Amino acid sequence: MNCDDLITAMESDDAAEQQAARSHAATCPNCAATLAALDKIKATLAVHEPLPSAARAAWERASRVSVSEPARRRWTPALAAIATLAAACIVVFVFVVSQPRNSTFTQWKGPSSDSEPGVEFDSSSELTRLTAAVEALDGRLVALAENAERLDVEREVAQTLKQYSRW
Amino acid sequence: MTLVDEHGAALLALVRRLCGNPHDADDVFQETAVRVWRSMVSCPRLANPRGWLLTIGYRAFLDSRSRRGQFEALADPSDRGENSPAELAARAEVGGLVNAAVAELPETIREVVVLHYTGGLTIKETAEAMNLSEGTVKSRLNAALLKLRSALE
Repeated sequence: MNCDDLITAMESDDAAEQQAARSHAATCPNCAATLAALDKIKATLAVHEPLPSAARAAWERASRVSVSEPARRRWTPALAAIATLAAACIVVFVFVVSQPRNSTFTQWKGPSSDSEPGVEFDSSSELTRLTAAVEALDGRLVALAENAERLDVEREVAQTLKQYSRW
Repeated sequence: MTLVDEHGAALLALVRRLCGNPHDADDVFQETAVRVWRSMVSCPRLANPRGWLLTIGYRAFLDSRSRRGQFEALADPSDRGENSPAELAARAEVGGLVNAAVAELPETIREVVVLHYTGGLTIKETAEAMNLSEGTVKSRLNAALLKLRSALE
């Protein structure tokens, strides 16, 4: 054991190495001072104040939030991608379907013997309907993105759980 | 004794030191609680509940930081809580210096120090939580202790 190895030895998980470092420090004033400083640093960093009641309450609140959430489907990134693609297809479909009806409307000159009698096209309500549909799809996409993010977190927690648990 | 009763104080101390300010730390603490409760639904049998809890806390801190960017240090975390004037004075002598020196450490080194000394995670657990090798953790601890020691001189 020499002075340069003191800190490394003290941080070792090997009790024998730690003991050797302490024995060395007992005979070396410089290392003794280093060891005393390290002990103070460790003691300061290890100080835990009692858990404040507000934090305890926050912990309990979190349990209610978690429990009250409905059980979610087991989304996978692939499933989320498929759902996003499906939503995009619906948007395209709605757009394509809406095109001919609008062009018919622009050519429609009012009821006549040639046109279909009694069929009227309300452009404003149609536009409102399509806007609502697009907004709904947009909302679904945002929800899917949030869900995917949440799944990432849950997967990470599950991995951590695997590391620390015995089944 | 529940998980939070046993290790909640350590978790809070850990996230306060990591975040550098109590407001963000409280958010990270709550986020950790939500993650823990969600995984509790499956009733896991934990061999090392403290390590598990603190690792989740650390990951919640990382996610929070990546969403919000760098946390701003508003106050010395050790200033919070109820202490007698004598305790505060005694702590101010060494503790103030140590806390200030820890806050000045580069982020990657500070995280190792906080997980190992404040959280009490072993070198191996710290390495796993941070996805580092044990050798890297040891060398960072070594560098940190040298800097902290020089701050105390």
